Amino acid sequence: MAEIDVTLAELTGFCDESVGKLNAVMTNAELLAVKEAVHAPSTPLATLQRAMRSIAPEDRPRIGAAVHEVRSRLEEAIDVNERRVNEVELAGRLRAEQDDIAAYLHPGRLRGTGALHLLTQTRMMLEDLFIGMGFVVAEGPEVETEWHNFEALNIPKFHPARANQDSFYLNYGEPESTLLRTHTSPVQIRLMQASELPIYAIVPGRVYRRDTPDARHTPAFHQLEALVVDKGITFANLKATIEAFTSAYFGPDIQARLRPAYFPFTEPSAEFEITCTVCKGLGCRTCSGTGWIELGGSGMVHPNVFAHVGIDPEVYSGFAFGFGIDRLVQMKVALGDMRILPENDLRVLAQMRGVL
Amino acid sequence: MKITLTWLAEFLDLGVLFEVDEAVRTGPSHPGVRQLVDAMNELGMVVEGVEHAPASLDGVVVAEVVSLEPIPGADKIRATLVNDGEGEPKSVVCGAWNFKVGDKVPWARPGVTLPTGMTLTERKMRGVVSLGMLCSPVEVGVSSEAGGLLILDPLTPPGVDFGAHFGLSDDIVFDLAIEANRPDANCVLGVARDLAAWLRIDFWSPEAPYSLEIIDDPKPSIDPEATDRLLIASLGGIETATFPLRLGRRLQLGGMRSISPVVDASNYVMLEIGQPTHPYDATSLGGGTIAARFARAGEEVVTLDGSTRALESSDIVIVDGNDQVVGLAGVMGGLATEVSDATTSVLLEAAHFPAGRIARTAKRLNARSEASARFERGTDPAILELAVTRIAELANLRIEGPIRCRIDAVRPAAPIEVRPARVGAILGHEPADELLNVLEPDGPLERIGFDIEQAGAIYRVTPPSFRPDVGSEIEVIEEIARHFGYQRITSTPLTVATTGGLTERQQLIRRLKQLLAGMGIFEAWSVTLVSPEERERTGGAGEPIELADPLVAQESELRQTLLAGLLRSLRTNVGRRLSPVALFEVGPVMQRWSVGGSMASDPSSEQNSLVQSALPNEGLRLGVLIEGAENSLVVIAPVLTAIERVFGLDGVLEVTGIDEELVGWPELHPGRRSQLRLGEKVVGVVGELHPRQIPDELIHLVEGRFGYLEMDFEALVASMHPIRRVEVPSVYTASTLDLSFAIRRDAPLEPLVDLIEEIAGELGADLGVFDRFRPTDDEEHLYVGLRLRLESDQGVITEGTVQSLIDTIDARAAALGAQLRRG
Repeated sequence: MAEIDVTLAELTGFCDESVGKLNAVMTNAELLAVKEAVHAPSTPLATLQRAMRSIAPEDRPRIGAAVHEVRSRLEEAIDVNERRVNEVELAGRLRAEQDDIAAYLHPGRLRGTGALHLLTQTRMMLEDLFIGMGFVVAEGPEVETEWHNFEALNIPKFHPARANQDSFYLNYGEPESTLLRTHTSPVQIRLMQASELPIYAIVPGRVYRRDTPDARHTPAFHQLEALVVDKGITFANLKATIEAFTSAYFGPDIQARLRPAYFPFTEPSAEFEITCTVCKGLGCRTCSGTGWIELGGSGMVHPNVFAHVGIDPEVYSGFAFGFGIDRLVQMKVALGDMRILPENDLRVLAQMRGVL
Repeated sequence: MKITLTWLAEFLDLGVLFEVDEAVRTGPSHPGVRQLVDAMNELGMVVEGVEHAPASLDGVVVAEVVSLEPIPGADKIRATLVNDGEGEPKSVVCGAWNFKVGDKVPWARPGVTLPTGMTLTERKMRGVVSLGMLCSPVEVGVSSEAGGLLILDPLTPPGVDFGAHFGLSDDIVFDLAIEANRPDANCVLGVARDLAAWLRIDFWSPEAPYSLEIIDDPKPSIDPEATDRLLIASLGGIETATFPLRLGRRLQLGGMRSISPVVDASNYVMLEIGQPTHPYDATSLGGGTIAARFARAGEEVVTLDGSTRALESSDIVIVDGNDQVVGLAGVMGGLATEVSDATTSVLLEAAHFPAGRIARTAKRLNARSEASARFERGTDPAILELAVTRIAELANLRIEGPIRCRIDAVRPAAPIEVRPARVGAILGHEPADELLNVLEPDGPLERIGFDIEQAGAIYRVTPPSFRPDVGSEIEVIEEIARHFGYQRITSTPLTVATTGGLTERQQLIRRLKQLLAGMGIFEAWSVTLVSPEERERTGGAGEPIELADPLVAQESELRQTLLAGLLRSLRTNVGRRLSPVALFEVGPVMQRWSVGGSMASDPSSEQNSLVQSALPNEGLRLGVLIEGAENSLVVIAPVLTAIERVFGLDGVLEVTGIDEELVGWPELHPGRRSQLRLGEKVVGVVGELHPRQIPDELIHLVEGRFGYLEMDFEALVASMHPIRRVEVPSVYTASTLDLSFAIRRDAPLEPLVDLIEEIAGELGADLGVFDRFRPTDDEEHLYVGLRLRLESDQGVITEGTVQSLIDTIDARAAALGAQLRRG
């Protein structure tokens, strides 16, 4: 009897001592050591549990209750302290892992995302604008026949207009039979030859002129051309289309106007101008004080051009207009010298990442 | 073309609109000047500049030289006394040597600021007082040339105000850009005529004197194809010829050089009425006459500029009475028959030449002149008499004997039928009837000189002789639109009959570009024109397509690969120490068709359906150039993988060793390159740039290596597999298996990957290389880690299934030179 009670007393001491140790541990490793000590076979708890069968039946409820209580207390203490130690360790780890995103925000200008070229971005904006109006986008080869580039467009040999479009002829085929296209207009001819009428199309693309490069001209540059051929198309439609395009692209405070001009492949022909985007029409250096800047050429498709592609000008009529894409880029981003574009200097390209 | 306001005012009743005198004093801001500028712009005579040209001659008076003495110790200047009509003669030191005592010259008093900007003072030169300056023609703004002082008419009274006496007033200069189809507007008269119709003010059309005597002189005969109208006149009085200073000032403001009274008068008349003429030294012309014909092969002529011109049978030449070539008709006169100081008698030619012929000769001989610029656009054959008489009048010359008409084969213009409905149908203005007002009697077209007759429902419109550009109904319609006013024509919104959109190919171009930009690569625009050296460095496809006449040697042929263009950008960036280089381009390359097989030749593709055999093989390609660390394949491979995935070419695009005979594609590092195939067709190459592609002088700046990919975009589009089905993945737990192989370094990896995929069969959900290293203790092998994910719709993957897969892989990999490393 007395022996049991002695052990019982030891059990209480063991329990208090173990709970105290558990409450004191700071790491999982320490916790593990205490847990091993608590579960060791030599503890008063283990001794009592092993002895339970040999205990007198009348003592059993008392002893059993005591053992059970100690076990519960120990399990709870382990559980509580396990959670406490985990918290402490996590907090420590998080403290140790402290970092600053600023260290990763400066990869250097040339690293990170790439960019679409400004010319592509501008071209896409223009394409989307005309697509919204119901136009399709057409393309043609950069190497053209002399016939498509000039002859079919009512620009015969020795015509003064050829002098303005000094050409890169190629050593391909007969002399002066092929060249790098000087404008996107030969695609008009290809469209009218190949497509079903009506045609509502734009033609963006690269063109070439034999010009000595300067700040505003590079031998290769980009144009966008629009061609409409249908029954009942008029100069009044051309005017409205140019006005719709310019106000959509430049904004409602920019006006467009047409003035007489000469292009062999259109008649009547017109230059179109817009309110100077720099001074809004007040007059400045960019517009030579006139308040207007010239954007491109336009006109009604010439009957001679229709004749070259077998369209009856008494049934169909049409208009065309075109302008330089590079110039729009230059205006939008105040690019002083166009010659830097074909260099593809990464410092320039890296500035194209933004949104136009 | 530069013309002045006072000149225009000689033909145009501007006085009803504004005070011309006030306008020339005020300058371009004067409302009247602005009105004219707007009118010229609206009429298509584009005003590129308006400049004020004040005479700046206040305080310049006529002075008579009364003494002329050397200055001791000075050999470049002399002391003069001049009489300015007031008090004592004035002392002026002068550096000119072309004058003598008694000459009348312009004298600028101290305090005067001349047109050149020079302000004069009183000063001492070599101890001699010098008051102001005796002036040259340039200094008083009447000429571009000066060979000393301006010597005035001896009858000019001393002391008169120089500017007022000679009518030298302030003026305004308009710089006009005249379109190629408006030959009539290439002169003051033509601009005035258009303005008069637009502004509805009076216009004074000059005419040759009614009494002018003209006789036919058809021998020797003239080829009417060479000229259809040719007048010649003998001009006498050359020794007393003068050209008014007032008009000299206009020539100078118009940008013409002064040469001699007769040449100046000829130039002045050209600017004024648009008719170029040519004066000859009559005594140097064989037979004393001229004719025109086509040149004969082998003939030559030395032109005024001293060039010897070899002639062709398409050139029209002027010949003398002995059939000797004396000039290029309508382009440039001959040196031997030029009017000079020794000329005693002048023969003046006024002619009408076929525009196309003149254009051809001027371009072929690179000899464009003010005259050819006018003839090649088309001149007025009816104005020749006026030109001749006007020149004689202005230069103070006599027309001796009758004017001789050598040929007159000009056919009058035929009437053009203009349908009112057509006018409305083309222009679209509402109400359409308003447009026809332009054709009404006393309307703008009639005021210009069109003859208009209404015949039932149509108009018969006959253009005047100075409008060769109007020859058809549509050209009359343009003229109606111009004089109605482009800005007055109503705008009618277009009703577009088609549905807009991009083609699949166009959408794919955008997708591809956006994909690559998202991967950290910059879109480049590189040159299409490259040098032979660039072609050779990048593995050219054979015979290049060269420019017939390159601007610079570095851009003499078309690129056959994108690398040829991109390589220049690479060098630029490396040279500027910019890294890492990451560029892509989507653009065309041009090759001769014989290159075969390496370019899109699928006739169904959009691009090729446009191409005729007359053109080279032009196909769109994609080029990607990325700088990586030691092995650039690490950076270029993800690009290829991404493209495969976007175009749905996973497992379709084959990556194989390079064919020996591969042409038309860039040459790459021999140990790090592959070709890309779709079926039988090579559609691209991928690998690392060859070290030789980096120029020696840049090698020390290069830190990494350059991965490169070039692909045929058309083939990508043609083989594209769109997303058609999304699989629902297995819900059962998957099993992931890491397999490590030792593989022979010379053995390709692709067969091992294929083998594992084959063995895994339907269970294989994913397979990827997760590790790759070269053990230092084993020179022969490479260790590759492959992670295989197994999934099944039927249930959980069992340990047994996994084990049997491993055993099968182990057994079969050995045949590929790969050893599964167990444990």
